Amino acid sequence: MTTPSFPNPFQSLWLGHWCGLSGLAELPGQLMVGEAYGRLAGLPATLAARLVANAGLVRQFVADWRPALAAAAEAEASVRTAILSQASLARAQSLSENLRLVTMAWTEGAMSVFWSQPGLLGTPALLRLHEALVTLAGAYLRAADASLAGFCRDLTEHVEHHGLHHHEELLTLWAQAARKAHGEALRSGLAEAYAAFGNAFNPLIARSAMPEVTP
Amino acid sequence: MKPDLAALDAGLARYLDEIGLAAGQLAMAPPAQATGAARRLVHADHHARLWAYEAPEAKTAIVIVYAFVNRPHMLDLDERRSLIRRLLEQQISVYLIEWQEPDQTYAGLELASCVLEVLPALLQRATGDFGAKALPVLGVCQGGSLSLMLAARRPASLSALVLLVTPVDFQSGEDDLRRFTIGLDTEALRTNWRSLPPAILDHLFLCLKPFELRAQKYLHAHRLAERPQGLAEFLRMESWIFGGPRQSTALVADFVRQCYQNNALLRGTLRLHDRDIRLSAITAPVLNVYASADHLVPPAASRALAGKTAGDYQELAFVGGHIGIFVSERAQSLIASGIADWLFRRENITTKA
Repeated sequence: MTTPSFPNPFQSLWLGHWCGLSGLAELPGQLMVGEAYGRLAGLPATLAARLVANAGLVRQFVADWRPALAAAAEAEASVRTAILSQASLARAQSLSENLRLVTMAWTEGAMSVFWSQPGLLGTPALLRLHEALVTLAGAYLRAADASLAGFCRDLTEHVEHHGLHHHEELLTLWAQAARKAHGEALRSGLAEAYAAFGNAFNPLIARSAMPEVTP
Repeated sequence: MKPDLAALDAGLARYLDEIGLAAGQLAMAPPAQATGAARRLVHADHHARLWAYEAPEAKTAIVIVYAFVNRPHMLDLDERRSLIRRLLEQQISVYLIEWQEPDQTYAGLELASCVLEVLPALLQRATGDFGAKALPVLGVCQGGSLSLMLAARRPASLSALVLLVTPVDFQSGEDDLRRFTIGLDTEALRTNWRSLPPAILDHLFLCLKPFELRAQKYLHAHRLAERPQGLAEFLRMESWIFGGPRQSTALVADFVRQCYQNNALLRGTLRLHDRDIRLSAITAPVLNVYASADHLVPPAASRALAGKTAGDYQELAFVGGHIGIFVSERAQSLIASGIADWLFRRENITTKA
């Protein structure tokens, strides 16, 4: 793979973190994508990185659920029993885990707006924004955990009625759970977290020297 | 029924291959450019450009007041996704106001000068160019709020007002943008930051729907590998989303304080340069088009306009979201024709000079 070069070290840190989370190294097409990272300055390369990172999440998600699905395929017991078994529920944590990864990737992305601003790193203003983002991510995670039972129920019903032949069926159910997670989050602290996030910009705004936005 | 694990494994392997291919093609794709319709520059200054899109046998023209928060080429991304082209097909010429972004020499507009000075002058140029005394105005999102302020201050300057996904009540229950902005120190923003970088707004918007906009949206991107046209369209749309303009913090601060924090437009307490801006002063007929699944401007935020203006008022609901109302396939057949039907049912829409 071509050694990537990045416009600044913070961008490198961000992308490296993101790609590490997504298990990029094992994905097909890594050579082309690796070259894409080397030309990171443009949006197409950034979007390519997003696609690959997302594919990593998908692959991990399906892999996490495969044992439960195998149990459902082979068990003499019902699909419902297999999916709702203790082992399956343990595996169901992968939903939460995947949402955590997405959330963290997003959080890191949001922070990257400010990382490259001169004189900001390590300042109380930036730390406060980071705290607000972590709080925001926490609100999403609580909701993601709360939606696990619904995901198991939806998956069970889908398999019972339609079987499961393609990973996209699993992903559709996952997407539904993600949407539900957002709705849950709004009712369980996200609204407050949004406000706190907005307020966390005030110390940054109070610093008259930033952000540097001239072309 | 039981899961088919062999099919699952094969499908996933294919998916990963295709994503690798799509990502590679994407990385090597040329920069996206809107393939817009032919247009003529009517006027340009440091505040704005005024573009004319001329319908061959125009029955009337409409002046689009766009928002400051993103770029107007979303209204004309390509042949298939273009509100502007669909309006032209309805024999409606289009004048588009494209705001200029602040730079080292230009600080950008304040809300009062935008509404009281620049917008009226641009509207006058458009009507003069078309040979009319007054034309309908089409306000888009924040541009709709600005259009309402203009219509309230100068009722006779427009013959009708069409609003697309326009916030009027900025404190409706489901308005997440209000939550972000309610405690913002607008005075410090105006004083300390010359302009607002687009990346900040990008992330605010992503954070309103992080799972859908960060993950779910890209789940089917592997299909792009098979369709070069789809890849180009995807890139064009993403370039618009992540290619917003810098904004004048003076205008952002004014807009946040007056609209999101004080809800002054709806409450009738908005004052610009010591002049009252009252929705009840609007005499032009209004068509208020809102999107039922809009997470940026919830339907309640738009529909709060009902009963607040002095003239005829109608609503048109679109089943979809804030961006889908412009670029979705369904929107192409519904929005422009809905606007045209409403306009052509009225008399004196184009008042000749």
